[in-house]
Amino acid sequence: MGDREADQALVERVQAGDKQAYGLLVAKYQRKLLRLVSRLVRDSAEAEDVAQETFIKAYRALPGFRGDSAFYTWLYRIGVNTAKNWLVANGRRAPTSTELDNEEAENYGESDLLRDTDTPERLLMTKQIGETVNGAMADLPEELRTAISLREIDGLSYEEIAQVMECPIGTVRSRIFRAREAIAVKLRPLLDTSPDRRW
Amino acid sequence: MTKELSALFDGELEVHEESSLWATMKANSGLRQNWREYKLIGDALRDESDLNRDITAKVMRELSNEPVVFAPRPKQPLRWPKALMALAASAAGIAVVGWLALTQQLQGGESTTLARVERPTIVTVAAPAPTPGMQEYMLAHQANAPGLYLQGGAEHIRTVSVVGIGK
Repeated sequence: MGDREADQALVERVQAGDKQAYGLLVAKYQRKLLRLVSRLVRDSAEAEDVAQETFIKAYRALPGFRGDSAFYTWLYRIGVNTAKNWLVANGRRAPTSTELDNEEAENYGESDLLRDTDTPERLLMTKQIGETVNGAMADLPEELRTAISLREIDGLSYEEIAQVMECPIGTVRSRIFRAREAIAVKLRPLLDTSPDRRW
Repeated sequence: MTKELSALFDGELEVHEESSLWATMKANSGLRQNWREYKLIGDALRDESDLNRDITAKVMRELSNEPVVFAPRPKQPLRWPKALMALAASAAGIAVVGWLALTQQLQGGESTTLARVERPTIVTVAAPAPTPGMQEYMLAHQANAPGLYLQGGAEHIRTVSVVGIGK
């Protein structure tokens, strides 16, 4: 099952009344959507509001989503329109379609990620998380580090990783899980997991 | 359970394993937190920014006031079991053959006339009375008759008839 199929499975659960499944989609796409919206709405706090509104609009429109396109393409389209409407409502010029079309919005470069609208606290936190994850990676046994790198950075499937590492798929599954858990243990003290952040 | 969650996160879980895990996640906020951590780890490894931002809780709080969405499932094309299809095909085949035969029979009855066949005259010829020499010859060759063994003891069969039944 690929990424699109996994998303579709989640969408169908939401359409069947499972609201929590929608939270998993939000968790999955929130950063990409935030980055997309931040290109249009330059203020960081405002971008969060627009992203939040996008997710709520998408939830309301979900009964009409039939899976003709990928969920994220559909979500990003709503995100772009929401951001444009927000700019118009706030008396600011919305970019024309040639400035930002949907396809470009999905594929814009990572160089746009760090902006001067980010507060020093946010930048510091991002840096800390990045350092913790990379430090935890360095401490992993070689076979775990290779497995999770091939998955998360190179985007290989379990079958492809099994061929590269010359081991059964079950071993790949186990190695990736163990790598994630080892990193998560070191990451948790940094994360705000207080009850009000739970859903 | 988190091992399965990790595979599900990568879209690598078998279909039959999925449904039970989704149901568990619905009730288990710890597993949903694991999902967010896995996403964060992946984003950090890909050197993405905004790692500290997490609007999931805010969105879900907003959605708590929203009515639950329900979408009608698209109609699946009717799928017949293979055995039923075979049975239906057989029945259809028999019906077609039967119909064709019946049609031919009806048409034949209406349009064609049967040729009259003269009953052949049976001529009975009396067998010549066996001579003693012939009887001896036949008895001597009975054992070598070709149908003897194939018939499996047919030489022992005696035809009998009951006279008087129904009287």
